[in-house]
Amino acid sequence: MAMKVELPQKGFNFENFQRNAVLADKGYKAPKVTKTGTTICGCLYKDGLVLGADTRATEGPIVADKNCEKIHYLAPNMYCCGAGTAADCDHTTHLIESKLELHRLQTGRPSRVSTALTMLKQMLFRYQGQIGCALVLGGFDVNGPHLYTIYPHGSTDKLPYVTMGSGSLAAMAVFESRWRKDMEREEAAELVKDAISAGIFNDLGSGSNVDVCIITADGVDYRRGYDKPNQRGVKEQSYKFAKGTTAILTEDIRQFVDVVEGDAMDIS
Amino acid sequence: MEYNGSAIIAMKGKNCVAIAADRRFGVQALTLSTDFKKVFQMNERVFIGLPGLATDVQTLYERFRFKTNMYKLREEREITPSTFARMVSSTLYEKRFGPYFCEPVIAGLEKDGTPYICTMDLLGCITTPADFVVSGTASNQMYGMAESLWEPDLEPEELFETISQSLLNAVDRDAISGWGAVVHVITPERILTRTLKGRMD
Amino acid sequence: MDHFPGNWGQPRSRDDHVFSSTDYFPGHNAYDVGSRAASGPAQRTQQPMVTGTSVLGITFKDGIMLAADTLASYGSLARFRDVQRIIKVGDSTLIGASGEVADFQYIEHILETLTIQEYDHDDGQKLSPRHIYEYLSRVMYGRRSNFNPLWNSLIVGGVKDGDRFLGFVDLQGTTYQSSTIATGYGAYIGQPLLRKAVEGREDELTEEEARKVLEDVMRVLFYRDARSLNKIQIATVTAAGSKITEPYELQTEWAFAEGVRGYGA
Repeated sequence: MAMKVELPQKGFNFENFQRNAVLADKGYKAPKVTKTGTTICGCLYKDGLVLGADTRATEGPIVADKNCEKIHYLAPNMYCCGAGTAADCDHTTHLIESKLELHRLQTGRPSRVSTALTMLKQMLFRYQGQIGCALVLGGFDVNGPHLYTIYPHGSTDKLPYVTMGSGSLAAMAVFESRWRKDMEREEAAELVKDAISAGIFNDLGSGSNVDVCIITADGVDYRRGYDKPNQRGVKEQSYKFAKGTTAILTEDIRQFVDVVEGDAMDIS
Repeated sequence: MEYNGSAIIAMKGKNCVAIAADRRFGVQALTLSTDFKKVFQMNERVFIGLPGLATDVQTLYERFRFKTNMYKLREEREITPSTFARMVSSTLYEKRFGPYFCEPVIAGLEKDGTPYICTMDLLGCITTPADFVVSGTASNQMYGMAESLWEPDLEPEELFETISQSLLNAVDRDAISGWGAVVHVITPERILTRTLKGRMD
Repeated sequence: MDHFPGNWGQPRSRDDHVFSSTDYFPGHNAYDVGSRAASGPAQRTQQPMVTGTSVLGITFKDGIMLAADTLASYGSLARFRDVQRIIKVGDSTLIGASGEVADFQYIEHILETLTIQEYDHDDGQKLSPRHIYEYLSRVMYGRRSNFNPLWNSLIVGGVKDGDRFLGFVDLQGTTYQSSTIATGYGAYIGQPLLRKAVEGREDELTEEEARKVLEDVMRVLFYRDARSLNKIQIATVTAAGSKITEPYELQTEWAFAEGVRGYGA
């Protein structure tokens, strides 16, 4: 009897929900999720906008990733910083990136930032905050530069300077004291760098390096590792072990062999 | 994560990767087996280590075996580690609101021989560091060991020693992992698999 | 079967088809910890009523400078808009408080009593900032240990015989000293700015610069703290003595808000 291969359904699958609830009752809690403690921010300047983010991902009190990328690509003219549950930020931005590309192919026009905004907020609202993404969306479209924040429950704000994440208060303090309208490019990049650094050094959930992304009418300047104020010190010595230090019970070596395909099938 | 206990670690070396795991299968404090497989070879050059709830380890292995076989049939080529990682990530994220209790570690060589390692949280958030990845109940201990012992451009034999010592000493400080260890070192020429002599307590 | 030795011999409160230990031992299991049942019939106030928000303190070249606004909020109501939250104790010490205003008034009272007692000793000794700080830490920790805290976060600053002192003590008895201190939201919004401006330059900062730093931070706090006011007082203590300014208003920038329209649709 031939088995039918079932194609997976689209969207989320709730099969394990009940089992996990029973396990939780018995005291077996789920492992901690990777969160991006985070400081993310963005601000408008004379020719466009600058986005910034730190690069630390945490799993409870442990640093899971010392140099993760929090500025996600959405479109050639649009990037999105994500804070909150890391998996949610990754997958939600990838999903909207795909939707935007299909939309561009259908409309034949460059994407507008408000399109991404609407797609993101409608999805997040539908899930009533269960998808933990707090986003800073920035892009330059036919109507100029736009900067938005999107909260996990689906509310949005359109502002000239924004910060999100656990380090948002530190970053916002820097913005509130130094932001002004129509700054120059380098000044804006320095301001964003200082705001993220305030988060890195004063918030425990943020750390490592500063990533900066400058978006203008001419395109995107993505500077990963714009500032690296937390370089690791050089180790005093090498801790290599001599061969044979570890006791071995069994050994199995499988050599790779080059397989040469036989002659092509004769289909005459 | 605390129900079955496990420890998996993967490291990058010079044109090689290594992935190692403990071999215990237990239920809380009761050890039931000392040869439980947690690292699986998906194809010639892609390995996945699955720590966490044992039932999810085996379920996920079966699902990934199915998916990689289907990939091979449809695409008529082998899946690469980075693509496989995305496949694993989507499979985990699909269960976003009722996740598998497993935080996989993937190690392999890309088509051009570049080493690739990554790990994910239980929801599928991929982390791709340049040095090493750890997962399991002994993860904090392994972080400490690997952060101290790892250095860049280790040759395969050196990498074997480094990853073995990181794993063995870490699991000795975790009550529910250990009871033996297995290490796979993958180079463009061969795969070296060794089981280690460790404390059986 | 439970294979975890730590759970053996414990009351079987997790079995839902057998009896639950809560039926037999109300108020004595994990579910009741922290709730009313555990602490008995008598209760103390669990939350502050009339509160002051952040206080800032920094060290500069000649001494210490504190800043606070003059607002006492009643929840979300800006109830008392002319409250002094920084006081002098003797010539050489200043204390700024955030949190419950009534408790701060009580602290003022006990410090006055302390000052009188010290005066009565008539031994030529005067209370220094460190003495007052130590006394307050003991009081705060003692009250907390009896589940009856004074719901404040205090900044104690002073100069005595060339020794500049700036310390923090709160309702739990936590203490620390630093060249920049901020309580309440000031710790999140103000500290990053204070640290950037002051750390490393404590011996170069002039009084004018210090005042400007504090004003800038108080302005940012007014922008972002929903329980703050732009009427502030700055208090300075140097070797020459202490002085607290009259309350004055900060200028704020709102013009750019005209460009903010809607929320993105």
